[in-house]
Parts: sequence; structure tokens; C-alpha cells
Amino acid sequence: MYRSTRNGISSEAPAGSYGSSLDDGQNMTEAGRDPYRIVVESLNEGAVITAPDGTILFASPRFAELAGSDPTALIGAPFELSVRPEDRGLSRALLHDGLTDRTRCAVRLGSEDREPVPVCLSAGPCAPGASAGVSIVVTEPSRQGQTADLLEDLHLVRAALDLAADPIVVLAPDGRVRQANRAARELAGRDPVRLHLEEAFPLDSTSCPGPAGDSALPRNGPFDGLLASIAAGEGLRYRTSDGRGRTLRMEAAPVKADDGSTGYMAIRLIDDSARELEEHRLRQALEDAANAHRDLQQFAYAASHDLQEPIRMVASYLQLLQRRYRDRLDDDAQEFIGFAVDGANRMQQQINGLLRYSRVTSRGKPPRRVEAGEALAEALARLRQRLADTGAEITTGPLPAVMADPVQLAEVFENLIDNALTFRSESSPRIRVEGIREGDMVRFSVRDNGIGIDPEFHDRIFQMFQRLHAREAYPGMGIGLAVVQRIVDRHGGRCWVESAGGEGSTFFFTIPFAPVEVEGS
Amino acid sequence: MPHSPSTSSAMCGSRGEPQLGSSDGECGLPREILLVEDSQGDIRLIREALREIGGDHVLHVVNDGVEALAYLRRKGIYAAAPRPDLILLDLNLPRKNGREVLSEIKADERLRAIPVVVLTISTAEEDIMTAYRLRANCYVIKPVNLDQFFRVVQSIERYWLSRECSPEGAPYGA
Repeated sequence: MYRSTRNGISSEAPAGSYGSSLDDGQNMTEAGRDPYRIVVESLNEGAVITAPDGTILFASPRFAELAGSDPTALIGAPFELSVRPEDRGLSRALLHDGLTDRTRCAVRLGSEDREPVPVCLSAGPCAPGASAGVSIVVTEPSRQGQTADLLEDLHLVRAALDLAADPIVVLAPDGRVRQANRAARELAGRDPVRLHLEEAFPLDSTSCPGPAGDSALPRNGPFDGLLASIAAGEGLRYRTSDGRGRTLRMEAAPVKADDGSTGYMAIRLIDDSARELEEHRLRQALEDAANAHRDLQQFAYAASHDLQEPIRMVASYLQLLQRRYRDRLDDDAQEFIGFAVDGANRMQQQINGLLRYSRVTSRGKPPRRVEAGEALAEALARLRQRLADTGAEITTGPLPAVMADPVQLAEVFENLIDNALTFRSESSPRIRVEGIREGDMVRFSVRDNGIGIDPEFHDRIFQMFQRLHAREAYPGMGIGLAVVQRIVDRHGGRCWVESAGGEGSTFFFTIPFAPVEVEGS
Repeated sequence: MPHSPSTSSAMCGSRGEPQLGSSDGECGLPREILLVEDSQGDIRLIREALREIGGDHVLHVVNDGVEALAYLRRKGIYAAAPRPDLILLDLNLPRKNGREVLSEIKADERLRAIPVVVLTISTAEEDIMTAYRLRANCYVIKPVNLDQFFRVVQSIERYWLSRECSPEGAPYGA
């Protein structure tokens, strides 16, 4: 027989007796039933009594209805099994706190295969002393208007938090986790609710610098450290000691409780392991790149010495042969020697081209403020003879200052103008150079009246050793524009060509604009 | 490309130090040239170039840096070697490279007056700067083209071994 008193269940009663007395109760006649029980069973609220370990001792038919279960099946089962898995941490916390205090929380009831039933649980001790059970009143919020809305909102907020990629927990003033989203549950490998933060996410005490990076976290957990770090406006970084060596970064903010107190703390735990791995990979890649760069430098040096020497020997002795034995060689022999010398010369030029190309990065200087006009003047000075020979006319528009390696900027102008002179049309070359500021960049253009380039080839011309014309028609190694591209790339700009073919070409490239220098700096 | 080999550049610094002039190489005597070079192909080319230029030259050849210094200091088999009027020095040499040879020559009071022409394939700026820092009198990049190569050797010969014996013109005027 269920003997409930005003003070709850007598603490001496053996736990098993509730179950058997309830069975008895179901067999009783209406008139003989416990009046408390009649009241409890007639309420719209569900009622549950659990043992200290959370085993259900009594469940009202209304609760069974809400939980979608049979009242008899509930007896002896853990209360949390009636709660949806994602809310079980909350219900455990409720039962724990309910042993000593009256406490409330909102959870969803029901098994996985049916619609969850949001309810409000109000729990309290059946009798003073933690060894007594817990009585729980289960209110269905849909019958309560405003409360229902609040609970609905709560569930929506929880669902939204579950979508967050970063683990988020709320710490109660005692340093225990009160709320945890899905990512936090996954990070902890279990439901961290009710656990101390450092239990849920074990700290590696040897590597958990505080906000100033000076001291380990206090022994009683990171809570004090967090408070300090929040005061300092910083997060806290530490490593977990779960053997996986994860690095977690914590960012925390105080949360106001219902009564306005700020004992709660919302904490975002950011798993930095992936980022650290990425950083490690990046460092490795940089190291590899540095090695590759060194190899290239060595290659460049080898190319400039060891490869050129044999080519020079081939060319020189063929020429010596031609020079000394001209009279004794027939036309064919002369021609063969000519081809051989030409081949050696081209190989020499190609090696020099590769060297020029590789030196764009190996010899490049950090960008500084350069007057584009000065770089152009330098380029024109170097092309003086070619300009005179071709009778070229150069006009300029605005040429703003840019952030560039001055030597390389001059090399870009030199290559583009040289290109315009090489691919001239019948009429004498007219070339216009100007730079228009566009946001953070200056867009330079070198426009000519040459033979133009078929749009089909606009991308190819910037590739190494790409030529569109027979060497006999237009000289060149196909290196100049590749060097231009590499220099412009190095400056964070881009280059392209516009030409309709037969109507001249305009080469464009962009270089970062240099703001006006502050006087005296 | 200021130092392009295709434009056979001979970048010459000060023309010796006449005030420290030696009695060697007076008018009428053959000019002594020490060539420090390990490439047989280059040795022969220089010999051919000098032959085409004509004139009274004696070309002494050593194949590495150690030999070069032994020659200049008249050590061992070089005890009777004549003092050169000009040294043509390759940079990449076995045993002791051209840079070391150059720095030892210029550190030696008895040798530093001899003009040294660095004759090399290297267009690397650091090699050029190093050579001048070590007080090479001239840095010449060996051209690929034979005609240019012959012209370079010719201009070196004219510039450094001028037959004119006027006080202004002669690098080693008495």
C-alpha cells in the first residue's frame, strides 16, 4: 500500500515496497483507495516519485500518458529513460538537485519514435535528507499558455545551439556544467551536464597557461582563471589530457541568472587541434618551399656556370672551324656549321632566359614606393638604341607612384615596350604608356599599333618559351612576357592583353598603389 | 641584364698602379701573360685569339689556384718563372678557387701591382662584386660568340699590355 504523508515518503520505507504497494493499489476498489492517490491521479499534472538513484517508484497515469508509456512498465525503470536522450543530462541534474532542494527544469519526454513532449519538471525531496526519494511534478506547458511559449522558446534555443559547430556549455556558479550543446557532448564523449568543467574536458595541467601565459590553472578548475581572463578580455587556451592532445581554446562570458545575479558563465570551447595541425602543415609546406627555393638557386648557379661552359665550347670551336677553314669548306659544310652554332646560341639564350625567370623571385627586393615614371624612364634608357633604330614614338599619360621593386617594375616596362617594338606593323611604332588608379591598385597599360594578337592566343603568350611566330619572322625566346607575368604575380597584381588582331595590342598589368608619403617620413 | 654575355662586356677598374711599376715588360721585350685556367678548350681559344692578334706574347698556363700561387711565388719548378705583366684568372678552379687566388695576390705586396683580369663565365652579380671587392682590375664575362671572344681578348691585350711606352700610356712605364 502506498503510504504517502504530507512530508513525503518515510525514509525508513524500503524502496521496493512502493512498487508492490502500487500493484496492490490497482487491485483495490475505488472506495478503498488512498485519498492522496485519488487527488494525484485526478490532476492534469503528472506525478512521479523516484528513489535516490533515480529509479521510478511511482508514476501517475497522466505522467505515463505524457511519456507515452504504461504506468506499470515505468515502475523500477530509471526516470531518465522517459526523457529524450539529449535532455537526460538535465534530468539527472534535476534528480540530483531535487534530493535536497526544490528545483525545476524543462525537458522533452518520450521515446525516439514519437513526437517529443516538452514538459516542465518541478522536483523536490520527498523528505529531509538526501537519502529520501524525489517527488516530481510534471506540467504539460501546452495547458499553460505563457509557460508553453517560454518552453517552446527554450527548446528552439537549444536546438539552435546544437547546430553551432563550436562546443558551448553554461557553467553554474558551483563550476558544474548546466547546459551543453551537441558539439560539447561530442567533445566530452558523454553528456557533460552536472560535471565540473575539468572533469568533462580534462585539463593537461602541464600545459595550460593562464591568460597571461604565466601560471597553470588553479587546482579547483578553470573557473577562476576564466573570470580573470574575461576581465582581461582574453580567452584561455589549454590542452586536454585525454590522450588525443587536443588543444582547446575557451572564450567565456558571464550570463545573468533570473534573479539578476551573474554566477553563470557561458563558455565557447574551440577545438584548435585542427587549426594547429593546419598550422603545422603550413609550416612544413613553407619549409618545403624554402628547400625548393634553395634547390632552384643552386640550379640557377649551376646553369649559369656548368651548363654554359660546354655550350660555349661547342659554339666557339664550330666558329673557329668556320673561321680558319672557310676556304676549304663547301657551302653545305658552311650551312651545317651555321645551324649548329645557331642551336648552341639559342640554348645559351634559353638558359639565360630561365635564369632571368628564376631571378624574379631569388633577386626580387621588397616593394617600396616607386614613381612609375622613373621606372619607365629607366626602361626607355635601356631601350634607347632599339627605340632609335625603329623610330618609335613613346607617349605617356598619368604614371602614379606604386609599391614595387623598382628594378623589376622597370623590367616589366622594358619587356612590354621591347615586345611592342618586336611585333611592330609596317608603320613606325607608336606606343602609349599610362597608369590609372583603380582602388588599391594602379592599372598600367602599354598600347601599341603593332600586328596585334589573335584572342585565341591571349593566355598562351604569357607562358615560358611560347612563341606565336617563326623565329625568322620575329626574333625572341618567348621569355619576356613570362618574366612580366612572374614579376606582376610577385607584386600581387595580374596582367592580361587586349587585342583584336591587326589593330595593335594593349598589355595591362596591375601593381598596388602607393599612398602619398607623409611629409618628413 | 647589365652583364649579359652576349654583349661581351669588359668592366674594367683602375688601370694598374703605375707608381708601383716594375721593370718587367719594357719596350721590345715579349709580354708575359699568366693564364690560370683549367678548361683546355678555353686555354686553346685564348691562345688562338692571341695568335690572331699577333704581337710578342708569352703565354704561361697553370691549371689551378695552388699552381698559380706557386708560379707567382716562384716555388718549386717555377723558381725561374718570369714575373707576368698580366694575370688572366678564371674564378672556378680546382684546389684553390679564383677568389682565394685573387685575395692572396692582392694581399701580397710583391704581387699586388700585377693587373689581374678575371675572365669567367659567371654572370652572377655576387661573383662580380666579390671580384671587385678583392681588387680585381677587370672583370670579363667570356662571350659565347667567337668573334666577340676574340675581340675581348684583343681589347684586354690593347688595354693592359699596350706597347706605347709614353709615361701616360704605359701601365708599367719605367
